[in-house]
Amino acid sequence: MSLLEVTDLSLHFALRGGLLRRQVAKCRAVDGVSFTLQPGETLGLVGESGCGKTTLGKTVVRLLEPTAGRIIFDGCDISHASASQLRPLRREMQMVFQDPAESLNPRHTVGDLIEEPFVVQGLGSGAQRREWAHELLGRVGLSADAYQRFPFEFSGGQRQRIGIARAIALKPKLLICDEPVSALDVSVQSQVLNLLLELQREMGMSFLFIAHGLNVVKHMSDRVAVMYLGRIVEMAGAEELYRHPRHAYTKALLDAIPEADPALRRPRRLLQGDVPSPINPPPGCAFGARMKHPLYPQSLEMDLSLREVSPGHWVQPCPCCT
Amino acid sequence: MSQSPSSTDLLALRDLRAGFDTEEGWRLAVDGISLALQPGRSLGLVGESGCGKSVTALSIMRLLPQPHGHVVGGSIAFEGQDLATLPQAELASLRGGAMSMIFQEPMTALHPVRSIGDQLLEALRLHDRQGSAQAHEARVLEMLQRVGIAGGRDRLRQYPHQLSGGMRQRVMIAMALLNRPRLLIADEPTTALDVTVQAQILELIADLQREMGMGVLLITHDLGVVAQYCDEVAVMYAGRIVERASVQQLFAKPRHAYTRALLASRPRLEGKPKTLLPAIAGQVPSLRDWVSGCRFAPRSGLAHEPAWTQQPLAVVEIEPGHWVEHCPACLS
Repeated sequence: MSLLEVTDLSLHFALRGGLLRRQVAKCRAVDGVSFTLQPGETLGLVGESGCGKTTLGKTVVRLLEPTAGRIIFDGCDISHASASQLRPLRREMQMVFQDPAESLNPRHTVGDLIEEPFVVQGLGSGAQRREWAHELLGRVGLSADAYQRFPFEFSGGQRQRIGIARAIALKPKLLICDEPVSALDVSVQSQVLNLLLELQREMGMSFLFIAHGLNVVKHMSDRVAVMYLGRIVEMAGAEELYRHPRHAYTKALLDAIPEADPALRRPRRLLQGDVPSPINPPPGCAFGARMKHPLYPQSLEMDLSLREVSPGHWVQPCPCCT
Repeated sequence: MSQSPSSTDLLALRDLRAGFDTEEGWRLAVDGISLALQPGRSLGLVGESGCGKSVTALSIMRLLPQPHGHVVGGSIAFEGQDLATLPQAELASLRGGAMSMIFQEPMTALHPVRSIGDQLLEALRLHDRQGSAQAHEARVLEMLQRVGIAGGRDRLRQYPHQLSGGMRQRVMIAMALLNRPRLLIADEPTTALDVTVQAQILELIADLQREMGMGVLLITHDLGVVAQYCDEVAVMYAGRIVERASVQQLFAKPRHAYTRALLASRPRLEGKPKTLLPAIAGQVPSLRDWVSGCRFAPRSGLAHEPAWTQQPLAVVEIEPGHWVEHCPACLS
């Protein structure tokens, strides 16, 4: 059984303006997204800023309420569950954020921060919580004296370890990692990536791993989904996606990565223009519209749901991009 | 690249030392670095945050934050002129003229409540007092078009907040290049941008470099960017340059343990998913923990004599054009 089953999920924000606060536009942050996640599996989510990957992550764990579609987590339909219905499930799904400096309360000691999830869930006595916190500190590679110190006393990489300790405190089944290493130095990134991989192996967690760099996502994932303007345009096994990209947008993302090898210098097929806005996106295939592809008009008439082109490899079937 | 400055160098740093007065006393941020850049070439300066790469750039431009930042030793020669001793008035005419700089976050470098046309025209007027207003506007429009900003005159009336991050960086590039500089310093010009936009901006800089023949000092933390866009590379760690060479030499045969570790710890597209990366243990030492000798040896995981962290190290040329800080523990 899948741990997570997301079907046709959409989240649209109304943008209001004018004197009467009428709806002037609609932001389709997430627009008809479907995927599943197995226990212990990592699904990578990649795309440019504004493509909706963070919103999708937050909606999946119900920090946001979807406009349409279904989220089945561990057999439970949580699409429209209330806060009190969600509370027991919060133990099972946690998030790691991009900027640990902003997601850790600066006035709390690291000990308080790591014990907070136990306190919220009413678990353990004071002494037990203290012991658990020390175990967690050791597990994420921080020394015991971190317990009474404050977040600002730590470097970015260490703060991210604190964030991870907090997120795994309740042994969740699902961890949403939202750009967990983008703010870190190169030599520290690999440490944090390794820590996440080790924890996943030990605890059997599933990850939804969100990042804008395809090399990091590919390294961390079993499968990768490529998002463009609120929609998944391609989804496949990590190796398969990198070796046989089918959608023009996936190819463009791969092509943009600067490889650390001067022998691989090549003329790039540059994407023109900026990352488009999800506010009133073009109908049909949004990437075909950005490329002004001659076959783009055909996508207006089509059903653009993903099709399986080879086992486990799903692509949006627009004629302009595949 | 040679250790001693030659007369053909566009830019030559020799034993540059710079730092800051802090509440805890004097802190060196750049500790005796030497490098040279020839006209029309591009040099990548790579390193992690706090290694001193931006302080190096600001020292060259004499833009260290005042009153706390100072260059305290060495020389900075731009076309043979020592910038460290140049009077402010002459510096001002060089900055934005013969040498200019683009920054990581254009939103903080552009004036938020002046139109971009205003700011671009000012940059031009400062260095060309003779030209007519029409001639200036024509040059600004031409440059905007060159950096890929369509929309002509209407653009001049826009404000920075009305543009996307990529567009703002293009405006910064236009501004930096208006006076056809011979040296461009680009400090993490694409770090805040998406990979796709990063590729556009770096290609644009490379095109303009070829067109105008300027030398580029590209500061970045990304070895991939260096491999794709630079001729030469210098790797900085804790205020020192630990290795420098042509990109071909450095990527084919990295000799310093830090360079090797940086390259190895990078998730690669060809790598196998979900395998542990050869990570570098520990973290970059903070300024107050800098030792006089090798600052990377304690992290290198290689057997090392504590003595190597205590005595100053020489930078040696181990093959023509390939320089390495000579720490016996880190050199291979």
